[in-house]
Amino acid sequence: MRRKPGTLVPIELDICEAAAALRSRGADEFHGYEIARTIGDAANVRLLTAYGTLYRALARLEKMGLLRSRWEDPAIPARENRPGRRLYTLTALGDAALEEARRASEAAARPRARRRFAPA
Amino acid sequence: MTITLAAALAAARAWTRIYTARMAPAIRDARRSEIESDLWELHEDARRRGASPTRIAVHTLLRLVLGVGDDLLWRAEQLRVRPRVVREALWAGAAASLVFVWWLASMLQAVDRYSAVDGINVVRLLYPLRPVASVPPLPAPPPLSRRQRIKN
Repeated sequence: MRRKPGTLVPIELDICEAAAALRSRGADEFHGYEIARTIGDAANVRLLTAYGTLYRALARLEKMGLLRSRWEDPAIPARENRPGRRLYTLTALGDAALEEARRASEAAARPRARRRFAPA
Repeated sequence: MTITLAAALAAARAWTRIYTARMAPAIRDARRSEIESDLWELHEDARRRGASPTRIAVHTLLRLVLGVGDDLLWRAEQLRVRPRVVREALWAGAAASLVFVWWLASMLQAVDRYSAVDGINVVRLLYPLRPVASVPPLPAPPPLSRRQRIKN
């Protein structure tokens, strides 16, 4: 999908929305699957975002500075006997981009005022 | 774990290995670990929700297949190949697959189901069915009369 400069494509917007929703529930950091699950639950769909689509978008958002990531302490997955997670955080820039996208979508949804001519 | 689920997980891991092959070790290992973590999380979450192993397998495969294009584009971005080239390659691959399916379908229609073609029965290879043993043999035709034999 070709993007307009300074805008987010739908999957990026979904990720930022999901990240904001997770943060409002107290989870500042989240991993890829958590994001996919949150997006799926919000859209009420069973099939989660495809691996390639999700992780490519996450990489893009990190490159744009809207997300930050780190690998969790290896002691935790070793103790819990599972693979290590890459944990993402929504940055201040990500917050601003999300706000901007919300404002833009609200403006687009608002009906345009019709120009009316005054009666003679 | 059932064979179907094991096969789906193996397919996801194999595909990740393929599209991350010959990349910078840091990027390659990060993507492989991330997918590995996602596979584990999906499996655990679905198990907690009471999903059957077959359902988890189908879900894993669908997520894998639907993201193939993005995986290739991601690889192209990492290797600094122009995305347009990858997109064109993907379209060409899709077109070639369609032509192949059309060709295969037309070949299968043309081939006589019960006779060998050039020594190899393509249909039998694709659909290795056992011969039906319960079909009774056709009755032998009645012997021709002398007049009919002369006529022939």
